[in-house]
Amino acid sequence: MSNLLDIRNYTLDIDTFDGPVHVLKDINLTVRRGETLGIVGESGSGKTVLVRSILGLAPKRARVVEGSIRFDGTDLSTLGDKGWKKIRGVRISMIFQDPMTYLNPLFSIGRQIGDVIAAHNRATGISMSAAGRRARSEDLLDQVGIPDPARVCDQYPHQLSGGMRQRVLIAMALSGKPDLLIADEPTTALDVTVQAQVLDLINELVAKLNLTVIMISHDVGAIATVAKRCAVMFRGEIVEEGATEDILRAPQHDYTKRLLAAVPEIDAPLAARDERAPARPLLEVKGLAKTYAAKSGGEVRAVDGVDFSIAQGEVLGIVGESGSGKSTIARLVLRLVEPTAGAVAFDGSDITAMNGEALRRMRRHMQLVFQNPHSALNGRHTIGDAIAEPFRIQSKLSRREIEANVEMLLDTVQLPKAFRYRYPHELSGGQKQRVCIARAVALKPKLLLLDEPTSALDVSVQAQILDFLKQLRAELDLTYLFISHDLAVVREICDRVLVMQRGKIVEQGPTAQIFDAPTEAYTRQLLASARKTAPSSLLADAELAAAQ
Amino acid sequence: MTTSDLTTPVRLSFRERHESRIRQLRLYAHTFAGSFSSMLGLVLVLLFLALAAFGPWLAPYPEHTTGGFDMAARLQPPSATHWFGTDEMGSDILSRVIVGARTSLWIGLLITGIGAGIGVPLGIIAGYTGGWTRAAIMRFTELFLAVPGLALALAIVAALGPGITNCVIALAIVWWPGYVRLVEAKTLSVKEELFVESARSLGARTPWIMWHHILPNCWSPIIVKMSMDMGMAILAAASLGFIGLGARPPAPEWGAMISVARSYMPDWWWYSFFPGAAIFLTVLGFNLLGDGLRDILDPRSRER
Repeated sequence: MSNLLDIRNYTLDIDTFDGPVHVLKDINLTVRRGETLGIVGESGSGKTVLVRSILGLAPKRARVVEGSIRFDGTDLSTLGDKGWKKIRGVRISMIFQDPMTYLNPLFSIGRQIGDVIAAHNRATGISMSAAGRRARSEDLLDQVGIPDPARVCDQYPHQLSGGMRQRVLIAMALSGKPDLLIADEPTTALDVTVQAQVLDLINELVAKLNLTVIMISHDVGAIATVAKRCAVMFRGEIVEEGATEDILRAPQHDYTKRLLAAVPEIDAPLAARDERAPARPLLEVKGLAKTYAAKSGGEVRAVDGVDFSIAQGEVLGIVGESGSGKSTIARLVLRLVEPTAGAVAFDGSDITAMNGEALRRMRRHMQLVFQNPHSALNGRHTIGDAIAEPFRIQSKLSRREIEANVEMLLDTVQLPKAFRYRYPHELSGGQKQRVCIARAVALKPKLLLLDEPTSALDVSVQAQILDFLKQLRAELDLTYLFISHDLAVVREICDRVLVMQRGKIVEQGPTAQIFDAPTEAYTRQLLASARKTAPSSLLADAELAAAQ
Repeated sequence: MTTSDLTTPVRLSFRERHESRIRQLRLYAHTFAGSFSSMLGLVLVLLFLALAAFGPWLAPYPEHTTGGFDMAARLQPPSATHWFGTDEMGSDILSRVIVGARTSLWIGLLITGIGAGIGVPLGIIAGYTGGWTRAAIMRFTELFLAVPGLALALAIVAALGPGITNCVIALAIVWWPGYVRLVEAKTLSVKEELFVESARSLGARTPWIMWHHILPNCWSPIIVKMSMDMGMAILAAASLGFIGLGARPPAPEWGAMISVARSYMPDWWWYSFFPGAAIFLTVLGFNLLGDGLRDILDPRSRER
């Protein structure tokens, strides 16, 4: 097999106001025809810049210091605009992370795929009628496993689900019959069940069309499902490269070891939980419902008659796919959103009946930690201001006492005291999430609602935050309501789990029971999808195959 | 030591504490200095501010700005003694233009200041509260926007009587609706941000959120609009002066000077040319400065 792509000593700097940042350092990578290569790395490792450079889409101020990228014998760095036209989208194409933002909401799917086909035809000099393009679009949609392609062609992006949109983008990427397909985090924005389907699709296409694929992801599991060979990137360097199986089984580099150790394992033995006597319920939710009026005149039941309770000191997990209403529950409990029906009793008093000042005072006992720590902090406040805010709102402490408290909290969340003077954009995602947690625990709440607290973070950071949350809970005697789409994470931290689907609770019970003996079909389906990309099960599969 | 024995508070130097702010300012300065038109605007505005600050000491014939005249030197063309020539009373035009800068600066500051002072709070209230309050404020604002600004100001000055104070009041009354629109739109987007919800979940009251979260995030567009409006307000005040509704003629106000100079137009061109050029350069300066500020304050240009 010949080398389709050959990257040699590729070094790239991005010029910034503070001087050049070395984004890629001496990258050497080859991809043979028909091969699938995975690139694993955390945010900021330079993996996206690398694959974008392959397509000549490196950021504006990027400067190639050294090295070359050769694709099928031609040096890509010497290409002009005209040369790129024959390569981009035709011989190399790319699929992106967030399918919604890459589709134009104003045009039908058929029109958008047709436009891409027309552009390729212009570039390659083929003429094709509108009907021909339409037929080809339907063909492509069929190829990516979309049922009833003729109907989907006439639909608009907002009418499709996330998984369908990603399929449409893959269809577009395939429209030029590319030799090389680059997938940039193709499954990150998708739910677990959809994620598994899209990965299957990529595998199928590789087999059927003899595609060469480079897939980048922060998710080792997703990479392992698709790629036979993989490279691990860390701070702009490839620290390890080899067969995926070997890397999973026996990682050589320290970073890879740390990365793999941090991946939460869905089948890991459950850690012993401290068995407590059943405590009194801290939060009781009865018949909670929230309905939104839909544009079409009907109504959408975001949360539909939910009953549950959390005992003092317990960690209750809420699991569900996007749109299942789990985040809405957190906001309903805090009354950031007004419930349509139902009652929420916190510590014996009914929150739904509270108003004004009573509700405001109540809020100090329940705090919410958001998914995206960056947008949860006001960019114009220093970290010190952000942590001082709860005290300034809810207490009458003097400036000096508040300052002392802020430093103590920074200590609690294991951040240096000098961070007080920093601004959010100077901190990493994990540090920002610690600041958010410091804000949330500042007033010593009884209940902490964690809305996907780790899903915007890298795995290694996620592991730290999860450990920290466990520690904090013991220290401050907290009760958690932990919302997540990631089953492995929920399994690691929760005592009891509640599975939601379309606003309803499908199943609830102790963690061990839900994971080992689920009774509902939906729960089983979720678990099967999650196991599919779990590194341990992939290894088990490989061993099985080897044994046969 | 403080009352707390838990921690020794960290004391850092000013430079260390404000490291990021200093870096940000240096980045702003760097971007700003890279653009010719922004720098031109800055130079023009600084020149204007210097004239406004030191005008009476810079003017070669200060007595000519307070009603003094020299009938022997009527309507002389620009020369070494009178760089900008003299007017029909023999007053030195250069002196009057220099001293006029201060009047213009006051007019500009007052009009934009009062305009923003009324408009920004209304905009934040309208954007944040929504519902009936918003509808009422916005409809009232649109009522003002529907009438041409200068025509409304004319009517108000005509009712109050001519004079600089009345001119400023009239223009401030027609100036605030623009700020309401701008701030309301910005507030609508800021209030959807997660940090506002986060503050709400901490139990923050509405005024707290408006003051600590919404306002700081609205500053950039407000500053840009104010700097652009400075020029426009000076121009509008000069227009009112020109038609005789602003400053009364002996006062060294640019619009009023052109108003008198109109009847001396083609032959004694310098009389209207120099005050006109002063207005032109000031308005140009503030507009270029505003453009430059927008370029550096726009979040989309902050990626570095």
